[in-house]
Amino acid sequence: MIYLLTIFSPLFGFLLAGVLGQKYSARFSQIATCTFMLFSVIGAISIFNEVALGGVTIDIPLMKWIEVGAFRAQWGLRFDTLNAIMVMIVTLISFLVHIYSIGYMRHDPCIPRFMAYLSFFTFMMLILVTAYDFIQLFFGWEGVGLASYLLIGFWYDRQTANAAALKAFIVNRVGDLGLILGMGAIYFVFGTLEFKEIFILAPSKLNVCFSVGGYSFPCIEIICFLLLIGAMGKSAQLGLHIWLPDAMEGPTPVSALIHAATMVTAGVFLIVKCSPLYQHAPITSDIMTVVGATTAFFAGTIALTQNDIKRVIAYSTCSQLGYMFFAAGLSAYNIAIFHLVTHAFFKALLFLGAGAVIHSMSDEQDMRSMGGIWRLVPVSYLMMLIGSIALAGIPYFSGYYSKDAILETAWHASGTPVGAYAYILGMISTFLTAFYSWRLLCLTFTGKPRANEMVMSHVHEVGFVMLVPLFILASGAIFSGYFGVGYFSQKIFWGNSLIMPEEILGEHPRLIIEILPTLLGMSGIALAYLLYAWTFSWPLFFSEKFRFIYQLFFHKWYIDEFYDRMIVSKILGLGARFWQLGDIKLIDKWGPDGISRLVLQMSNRSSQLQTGYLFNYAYAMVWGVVGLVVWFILKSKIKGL
Amino acid sequence: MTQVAFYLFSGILLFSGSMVIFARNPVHSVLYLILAFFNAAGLFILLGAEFLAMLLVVVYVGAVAVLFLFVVMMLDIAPLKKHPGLLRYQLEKLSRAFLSLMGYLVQFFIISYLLSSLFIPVLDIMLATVPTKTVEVGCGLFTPVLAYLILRYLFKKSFFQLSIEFMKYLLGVWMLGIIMLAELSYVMMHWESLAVREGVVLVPTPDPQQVTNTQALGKIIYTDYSLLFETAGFILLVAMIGAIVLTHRKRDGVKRQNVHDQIMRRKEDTLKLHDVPLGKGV
Amino acid sequence: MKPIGLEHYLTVSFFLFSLGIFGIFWNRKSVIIILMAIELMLLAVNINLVAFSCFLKDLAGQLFALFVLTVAAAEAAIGLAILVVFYRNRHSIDVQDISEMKG
Repeated sequence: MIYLLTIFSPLFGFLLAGVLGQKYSARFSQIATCTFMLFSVIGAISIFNEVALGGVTIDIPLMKWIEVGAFRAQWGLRFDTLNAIMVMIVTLISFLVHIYSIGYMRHDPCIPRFMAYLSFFTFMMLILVTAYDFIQLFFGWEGVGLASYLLIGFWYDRQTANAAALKAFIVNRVGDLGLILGMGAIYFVFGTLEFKEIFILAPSKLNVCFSVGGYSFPCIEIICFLLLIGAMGKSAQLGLHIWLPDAMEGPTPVSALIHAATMVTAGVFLIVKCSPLYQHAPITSDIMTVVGATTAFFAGTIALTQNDIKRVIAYSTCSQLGYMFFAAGLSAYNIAIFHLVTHAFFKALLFLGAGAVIHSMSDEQDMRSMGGIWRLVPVSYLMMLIGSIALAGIPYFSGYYSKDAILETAWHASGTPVGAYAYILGMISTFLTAFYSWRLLCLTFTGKPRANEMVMSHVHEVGFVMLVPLFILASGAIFSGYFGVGYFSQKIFWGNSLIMPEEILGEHPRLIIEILPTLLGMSGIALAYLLYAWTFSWPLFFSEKFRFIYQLFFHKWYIDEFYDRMIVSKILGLGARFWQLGDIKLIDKWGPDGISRLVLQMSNRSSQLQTGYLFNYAYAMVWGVVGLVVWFILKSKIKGL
Repeated sequence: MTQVAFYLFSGILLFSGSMVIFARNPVHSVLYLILAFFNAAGLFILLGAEFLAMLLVVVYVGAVAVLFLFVVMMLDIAPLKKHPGLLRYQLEKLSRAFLSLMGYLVQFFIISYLLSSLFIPVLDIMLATVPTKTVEVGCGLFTPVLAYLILRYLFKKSFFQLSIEFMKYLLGVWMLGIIMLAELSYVMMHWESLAVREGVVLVPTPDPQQVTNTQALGKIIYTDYSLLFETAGFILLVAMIGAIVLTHRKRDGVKRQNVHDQIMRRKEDTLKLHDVPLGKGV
Repeated sequence: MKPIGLEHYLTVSFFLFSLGIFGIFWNRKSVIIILMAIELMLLAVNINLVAFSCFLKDLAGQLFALFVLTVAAAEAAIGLAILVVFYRNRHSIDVQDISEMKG
């Protein structure tokens, strides 16, 4: 019972707020959705208790969905450790975001719709993470894509918001193609789509191959590769990452919920869930590692130069997702999830804190117009500081434990070229992460105020309803690492939900290697302080000196422009041609327009019969009479007329 | 003798009837109408219906035709002007329209034929799959439609427009006349009178030696058909009222009597007695 | 020559009637010609009736022709009255001008 309540409460919240929200006041929909989310959180905590800490796996089949021939699909809920952790993260962060939105969206005219969409998203995410089989996972996958579209384009009267929402959905779709093909391949090879059975059958299918054009590929590699593409789309890895920065057009709570803590982690979740498959696909795992490490580095470089506060945090998310991917690629699935959990806390904290700053700066988002407000909003400053410290991996905060674990795994694998590549890029990204986080802090809070007088006079600390979620997240950001590291590394904790890496035998890393990430972080912070807090002209100097590199980073490595030229404009041109030629000229002209034109012509001609002259009418009458007479004459002569 | 009279009367009748239509001056038309009436009266006398002949002259000529003349004179209609070369021009136009229409029809049939011969190889396949009747009907409908569409794009003018042009030059009217003539000749050729006549006759004509036509008519009008006669009178009454109502109009500046006002006049409204003292005016 | 029989009279009547019909739509002039053509048609019908009456020795034909005559007179009067009013309003009785029912 409590399982159903946990998963379906957000659905009730969505229905209430969506259907009745317009009739009753906004306060009603806010209270309704938050209450239902609270039920979900309580349920999630108890599930976590029972399943993860108690080591039980629960399976609840709900309803038959598809039964076609030999193919069965079933609605059901599955709770094992991995799912339970995800459920708890999703419900907790969603609940905090719901509370936060009460304050942040107070002046918005469409509050019920917003709360309804948030609950809808939560429900879909929960369906995704408790999926019984791939079909249900895909249903949740598409559902969160839809919710993301709706929420990014929430302010639909803005042109940029609509474009960003479309971009997010379409890029996701490209990834989904990989997922669908992967699902098809799984069904083709395994004959079923249920997780349980696939994982049992996996070792027996190692030798099955697909042959294409003389080359044969092991099927598990292909399947894993296709699933990887799907995950790349959802989790904004290199190549399909273009939607994530633009998704910042949505309101800040949306960014915190979807694009920091939950939806973008769905890709990582998928890969970790299929870890039994990935164990047998070394090549794909290597590809995953390379992609993840490159994304981490690449996003970090871009974040150095961005001016919008939310974009910096978005690229930071992209970078951290790269970390998770390359952890998964190195078969350290549990560490990837650990990083996911800690990242959810401190990234959501950063986003919501940024939202608080934006709120107090009267909706100003460009960091070049901020500065010098730390005395005026000390609590927000403290929260962002905590988040940034956790992000940079300062010891004893949560990020330290997870990030260090990842880098240690990479170091252990650095014997292979892929591992070494990952390790080096991971290190550089750590430095970059610290640097741009502190760049953000310095530009926003310290120094001389760069905003105008009117904005500065309105700067005030945000209300209690927005601060409480920040406090809770901050405590998560600080303590989740310390308390979690014990659980996350034990095999007993995980049970059957994912594959644990084998015990690393081999030399223990030297001390210098262990503290290197921390050192890099500190030096990044120091450099940032140097450039942004004390002097102000050095950044300008550097950007002028290394003009080419600066432009490259600032323009996001020109990937958007590349895609636009190569793909998007071609497709838009094709679409336009279909529309103008195919649709308007061909179908409309002969179809509906053609018929109406025909009717008009016929009626025009028919109206010419009405000349208005009496004698014409009399003439026609005479013809009629003559015709009748002729007919009578002929009738009497010819039989059968 | 009667034949001569008959042919004379009917000849002039038909001549003046056509001149009623073709005369250019409308007054001439009315006069020809009067001539037609006279000749018709002559025909009636030949038939032995002298009462009706007199009635024709008195009522039709004396009243109706005079009425026509009045109206024609009053309305002051201008006579049609004679166009030089009108006949030749019309004949030219006529022949052009006729030829183009014929050409259209001929091409239509040729193209239909060609199209249907194209279909023959396809026909076997169609007959195998679709019932025969459908194939026939379909081909029968399809080729003319296709031929029409082809011709439409060649001619840039639809058959409808061509036929309207055709009609404009009155060729259709000639065709109508020809058809009517054909009907008449057919009927004339196969004329059969009714063999039995006794039961058909409604009011047997008394012997013209005993009873004059007028007397015979009078005998039945005022007895058996008196109601119809009254009704005829009513019709004339209604016509009279109708004519007055239609054409009556009020005119400004015409002095009239209002009888009601005249009768209802009171002394107080009209007379006023003044006691005028001597030496002063009113 | 053949003695004058019923068919001769009927032929004359037919031609006169068709003349009347053609007069309705073959005139380019005025509306009065139409009224006169109607009179011609009625006359043709009268000839027909009287011819049948005489050849069938039936007086009903002549009686009916009498009534037709009456009605024709009445109708000519009304028709001309309407024409006069029409002329007052339109100031033209050219056939080509009367096309308000066009379209």
